[in-house]
Amino acid sequence: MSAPVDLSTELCGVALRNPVLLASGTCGYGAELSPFIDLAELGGIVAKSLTLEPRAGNVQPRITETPAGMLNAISLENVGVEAFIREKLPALPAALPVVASVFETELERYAEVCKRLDGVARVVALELNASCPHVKSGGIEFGQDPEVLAALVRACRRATTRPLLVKLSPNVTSIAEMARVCEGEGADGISLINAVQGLMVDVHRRRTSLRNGLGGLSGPAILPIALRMVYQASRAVKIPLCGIGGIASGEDAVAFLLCGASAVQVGTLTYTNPRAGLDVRDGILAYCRQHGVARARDLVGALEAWPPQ
Amino acid sequence: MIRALARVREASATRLVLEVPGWPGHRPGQFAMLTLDPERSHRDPLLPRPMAVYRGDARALEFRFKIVGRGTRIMAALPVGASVAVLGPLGNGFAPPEGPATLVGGGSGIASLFELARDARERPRVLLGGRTRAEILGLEDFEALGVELGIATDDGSLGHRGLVTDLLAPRAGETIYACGPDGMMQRAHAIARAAGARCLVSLESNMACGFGVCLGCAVKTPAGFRYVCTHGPVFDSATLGWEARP
Repeated sequence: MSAPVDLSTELCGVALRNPVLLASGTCGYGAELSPFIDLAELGGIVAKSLTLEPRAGNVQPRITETPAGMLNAISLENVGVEAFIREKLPALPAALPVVASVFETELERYAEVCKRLDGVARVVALELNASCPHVKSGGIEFGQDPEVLAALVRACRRATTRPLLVKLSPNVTSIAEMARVCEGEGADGISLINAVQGLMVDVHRRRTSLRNGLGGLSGPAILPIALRMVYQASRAVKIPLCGIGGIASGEDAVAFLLCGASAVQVGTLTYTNPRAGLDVRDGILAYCRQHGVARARDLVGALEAWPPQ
Repeated sequence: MIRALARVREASATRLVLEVPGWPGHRPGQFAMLTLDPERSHRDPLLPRPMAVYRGDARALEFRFKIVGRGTRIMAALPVGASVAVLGPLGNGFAPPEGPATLVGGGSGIASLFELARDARERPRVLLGGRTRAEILGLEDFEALGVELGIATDDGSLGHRGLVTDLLAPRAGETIYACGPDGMMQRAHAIARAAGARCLVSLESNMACGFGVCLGCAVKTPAGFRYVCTHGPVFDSATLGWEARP
């Protein structure tokens, strides 16, 4: 009989029964997964990014498979913040922590979506999607310019009393600089990384694989990039981090915890298996048992240094 | 809906038979997502493949396909006993015909129609098309049903030389069920409309999940985007805005 393992943790003051959330854009509004899993067993979900008005996406092809990953250009199709509050939230189990993801094309509109979500009891935290790499209307990503990112975090910080996470774009030169900008403007935490900008070509048709051209690369292919960025961000800021990028197993998740993430989000792997998030949780538990770790949160930032060469 | 670890009983260039423990049954025209590397030892190819159930029962599911890319190439070469994760049954499937019906299948789209033809109360007329005789999937099975069968091939190697929709002549009050390439389904739709017949089509789409979260399979219709996985794959062709196309 092995000793019990405590998987519970905390992210920006929100208590989580385990460190595994589902990433925005990969779990719908939660209820889509109810036929397959008990949502309340998860650490939480980050619902699909919300805009002020309902929003339709791109015409197919919107997704394409890549080596150990996939490229998407859905373009943030969503039901809009009001329908989310009215129709989607009530369908979720009371015990499930729900993080709302916010996306818009202008600062004022971002802040307005935050404001609408501020008084909603079921929403435990907000996550600003500052990084969607394939929306033409926004021009460059909000998360690619330190000054634009600062203005965004400032505006949304004023608009909400809820814990505020900023989901960073990986398509930047210095992730540490972007992390410091968020911390400086009062963000409570940082989620990283969003999809990596990419392109695929169908050589037989001499066209880009996606109708939109550029897309966001996700899945196991981006795991080392994400780990590197969590590692760098954890050395740059003191606010908690939520690690995202190609997590497919408990061991992948533990790698993020060791690099300094307080929690993780499982994303693209949910497409391949609606139970992926719970399998990752089970994998963290197995790792803790194997290594005699009593509390999963003790793994956070516990990467050990190599001896000098 | 279940997700189960299945075992390969048989695999070839056109056929995959899986023993699926606990399969809850399905309706004609429903599909499953097949994950070819369920232990994630390679994580590549990453995504499961949507496959129409050709026929099945509580013990085994049979899929018919044509090798078109990486996934189907791997599928065709799976050794007996290999594991495949099966998620399903997914999608709406076909509502069984209540009166006379003609089924029109093209290429691998034929796979969606076999159980519909087999289970219909009134024997339907079945029209099957492909580039060559070898592409008419499940020909012997359809013949064994004793239905009125029409065949068309591009090269004339079997039946009518030309399009399968050349054989389509809807009767009054009939329902047309079509699954195949978009061009074939749009012609079936146009012929059905002209004859005042209802036409149900089963759309094929690239998709990552099969249960409504990746949104990769969105189809633009006059009423907005519809998802092939959860709203379909079967749609009334009158809802798809095909009239507007040249």
